[in-house]
Amino acid sequence: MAQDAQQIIEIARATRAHLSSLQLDLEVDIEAIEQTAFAEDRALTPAETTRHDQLRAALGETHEAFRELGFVTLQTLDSSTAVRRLLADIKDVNRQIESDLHRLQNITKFAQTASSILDGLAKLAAGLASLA
Amino acid sequence: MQLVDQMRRASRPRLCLAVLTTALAGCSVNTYKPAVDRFATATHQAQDAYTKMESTVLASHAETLRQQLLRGERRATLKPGSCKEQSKDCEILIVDRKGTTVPLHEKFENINLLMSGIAAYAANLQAIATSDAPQQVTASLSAAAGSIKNLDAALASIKGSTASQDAAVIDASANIAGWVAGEYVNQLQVDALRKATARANPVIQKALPILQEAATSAATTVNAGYAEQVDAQREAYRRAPGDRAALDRFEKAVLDFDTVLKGTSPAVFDAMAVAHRDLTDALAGKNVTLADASAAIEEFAKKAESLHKLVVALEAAAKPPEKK
Repeated sequence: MAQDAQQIIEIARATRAHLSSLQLDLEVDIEAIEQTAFAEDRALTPAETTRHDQLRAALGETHEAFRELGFVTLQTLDSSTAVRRLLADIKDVNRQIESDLHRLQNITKFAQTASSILDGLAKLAAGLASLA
Repeated sequence: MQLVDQMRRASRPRLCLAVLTTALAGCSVNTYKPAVDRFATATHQAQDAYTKMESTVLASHAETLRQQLLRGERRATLKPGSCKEQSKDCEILIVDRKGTTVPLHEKFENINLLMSGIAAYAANLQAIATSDAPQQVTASLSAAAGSIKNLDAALASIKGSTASQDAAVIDASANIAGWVAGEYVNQLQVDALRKATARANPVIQKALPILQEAATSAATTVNAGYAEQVDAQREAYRRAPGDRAALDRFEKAVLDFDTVLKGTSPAVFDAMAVAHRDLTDALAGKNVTLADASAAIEEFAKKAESLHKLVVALEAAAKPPEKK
């Protein structure tokens, strides 16, 4: 695999890992606020609500970041040299298989042609025989 | 001694024919047909599933851009020279405050072309394996035998004699010739499969990490919509813990996301690469048996089928849930 694709993949993996870790931290904090209030059988205090909203907003941003990361990764991979090279390689493989397929078709055609010629000759001879 | 030599000479052609026919009959293309067929179908399904997932990425990105437009963070304009009477296309460009432009409707052509190229390769393998060339050649030679008999009879009639060749001998010769020719063509098919898989295998193995990453990127984008929906329903339930409908919606969002997470694994491309490597080795007579290759292909086919089924169901159920 060409260097550029390898780099793109490594960056994408590292960023995903970072985002996942961030999500886990946010979730732990959100859960802690909710569980504290639940354990004390009360609603969230205004301070907790503000903090909770902030954490949820941050969590929402990580989802958006995953979306954007997916798009950017696909975009950069799509324009990478490695993908272009692989595309050329697979086209080359297909060209060669198609040539083998044509060869098989030509053999079949040749056998059919030979059979038709013999059939024609037989008919011609039969015609001549009826004249004789 | 002379007699022995004569016997040896007489038996030589028969021996050659026996060696030739035994060698030819050793590897029938029919043996590989089911495996190649299944591989081609699975590859097509994997490609189709990927294309559908990629459409979600593109649609999701376009929606993000629209949201940015509506928030005034970017503005929409037309691509220079487009949307005029003599233009070749008509396209919206999105511009940020620094003047950087991106198209609203982006396409990832190369990855799609690569996937299509691999699917076309699998279809070509299938065409070679399922070609009925041996049967057609055998049938043509059998038809030729009939013509030879007719020709012989007609020529004999012209000469006023009886047919020079015994009809049974002509039939037998044609049958042998037809069988040998059929086996020869069969051998060409097997060779073509061998050559093709050997050529394609390094390309497919090299493409594997790229296809896996593309599938992972596409899957995370699909997942993002479901993750948001779970968060939203979780919060709605937290705010109204006594509300049965809120609990049901939360539970449903979780179950939906669980199904998607378990079904959109990018492992399908890993399975494709393993299946192709095994098929290549089985055809080349390396350490992999056809049974092992078929098992790997079956594993790939199952993954491709379930991914395809899920993606089609997601598409039918109409897009990922709306962002709240």
